[in-house]
Amino acid sequence: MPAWLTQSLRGTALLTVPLIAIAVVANAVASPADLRVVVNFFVALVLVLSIQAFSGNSGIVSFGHVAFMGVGAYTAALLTIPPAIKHFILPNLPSVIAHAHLGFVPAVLIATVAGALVAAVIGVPLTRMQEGAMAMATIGVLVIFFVVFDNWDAVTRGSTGVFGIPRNTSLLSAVILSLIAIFVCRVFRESNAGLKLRASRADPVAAEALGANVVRLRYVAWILSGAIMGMGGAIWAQYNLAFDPKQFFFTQTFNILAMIVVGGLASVSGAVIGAATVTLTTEIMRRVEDSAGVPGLTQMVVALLILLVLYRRPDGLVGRSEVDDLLGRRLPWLHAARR
Amino acid sequence: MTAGLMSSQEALQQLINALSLGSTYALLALGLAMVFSILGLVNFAHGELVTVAAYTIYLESEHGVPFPIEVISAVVAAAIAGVLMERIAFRPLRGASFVTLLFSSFAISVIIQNLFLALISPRQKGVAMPNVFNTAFRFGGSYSIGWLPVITTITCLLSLVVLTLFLRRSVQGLGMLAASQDFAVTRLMGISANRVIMAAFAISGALAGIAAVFILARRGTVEPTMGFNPVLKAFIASVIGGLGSLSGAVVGGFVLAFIEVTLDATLPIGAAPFRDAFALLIVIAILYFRPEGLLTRSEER
Repeated sequence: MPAWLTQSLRGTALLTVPLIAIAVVANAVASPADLRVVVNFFVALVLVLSIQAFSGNSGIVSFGHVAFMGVGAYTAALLTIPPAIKHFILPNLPSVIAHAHLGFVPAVLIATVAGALVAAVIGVPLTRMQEGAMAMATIGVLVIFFVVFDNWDAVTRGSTGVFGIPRNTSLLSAVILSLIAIFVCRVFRESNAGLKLRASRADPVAAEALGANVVRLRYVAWILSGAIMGMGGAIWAQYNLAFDPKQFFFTQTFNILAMIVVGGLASVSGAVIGAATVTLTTEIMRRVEDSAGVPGLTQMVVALLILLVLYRRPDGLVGRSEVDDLLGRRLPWLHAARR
Repeated sequence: MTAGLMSSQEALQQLINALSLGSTYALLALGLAMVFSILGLVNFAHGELVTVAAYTIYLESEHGVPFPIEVISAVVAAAIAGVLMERIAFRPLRGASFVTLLFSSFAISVIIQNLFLALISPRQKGVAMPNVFNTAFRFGGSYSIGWLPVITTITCLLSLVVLTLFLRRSVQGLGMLAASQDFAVTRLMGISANRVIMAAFAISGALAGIAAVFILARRGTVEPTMGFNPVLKAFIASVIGGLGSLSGAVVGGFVLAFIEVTLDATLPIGAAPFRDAFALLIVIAILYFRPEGLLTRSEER
């Protein structure tokens, strides 16, 4: 087995154990409200991993990824809302979409492809820009897609939003898809392309000089990340059942970025641990916020958490290494097969 | 309606609208550019300085404070908020990477928004402004122009003149101007880094405070998220002008305003909501073709 595959499998397995444990425990004992938190955690995991796939390897922040989440969510919504409801809320849809009534798997697949396609189009100009310029252009992407979602009444129902999406996402499907996302991100990170891209994060000019086509590598990562985001948006939509364009704007961007910053941008383990930390903090603070009657407290604490992490550990709680690398240093036998 | 069919009254009105909008954007963009040029920080929380100023006016107007005092204290409050922001939040991150700084300013923006939400109200609150802002004056027989855009333009242009004099004539100002072009060398010339950075945040806050008065006069309400639109416009304007170029930011503000007013006048009715999307498409095109900005010569960087 090639080294990148062993490493990805080992890394995924190591993260799978606690994640499945969480799912099993939640399934057995959690109240319906807590179960919802757990499913949303697994959905968030997919969203965060999408950012990891691009920003983690390239080192370029994206504020625009939520746009792909929106693309995935609207795609899934249009394909799964029962035609009777669709006829009522979106009377002007093209007939193919108006009559479509797909199940979970095809809807998620098509949304994934839609996310990848939209990313492929936008990525052409974006990935050719310099790092800072690209980061700023992603803010433009975020706003442009928000404006389109908010005003394209015939397809998105504008600012009123859509409803009637069936709850197709279950704990099981969310767990399976997030594990797939972890594995895909790990494979990409350990692959030749991922390695070169990570080298370009440290020094794009040097990486280029050593034969890495930085623009193409960024483009590939961007599309992969668009696909994962499209998938994440699709399962998110089929769990939350109704949404409007505001869900794909700055607050959502902040929530997802908070997770990746807290855990650490540069590793898949960081994305997972960040998602867990922020979800846990949010849930605890939400309870405090409700009982203390201070609106906004949760977001404030999450923002403070980001600042604290940036001050103390700018690379995030996990840092640049994966958990299996960190464990491997303590337990050498785990890494017997390392390159 | 197309530009060719516009009456001279409408053309004049559009021109003064573009000028007043542009001068507001210029103040906002200049503040953003000043901080960026010295620290390399795109301050997402710049819009919250506008919010601070607007809420200062709101709180004072609830207690019947006279308007001129409201304005002065709003500008001072925004300047202090800028300095505090730097002291508390950005100073510990001095020298951190672009990404870290971006994230931290994003977090600070969220904290300030939620502070207003928690301490005052998540909802919009109406603010009474002087009547003169709602009146128009006539001249030359048939021409009628609103006072608000005229006052906005004059005040913002005056602020720009005062700031330019300060930057060009005082030692502290020259130090800042030099720092905006090459901070490292400026420090070697014996200019105190902390003083320059503090002054940049204070000026950036004061400019945002002045802009806030007119933003508030136009919208008539305060709400915790009201800083978003201003920071977005400032961001677009400073990208047009070349991020980090002070004069570019000012010109970028006016260019953005003229683009917006033109799009408003020429876009078909159905496309009007897409105006901001068009403006940002232009920004992405600029970032792609001329990342150094439309207005800077390459040697200026």
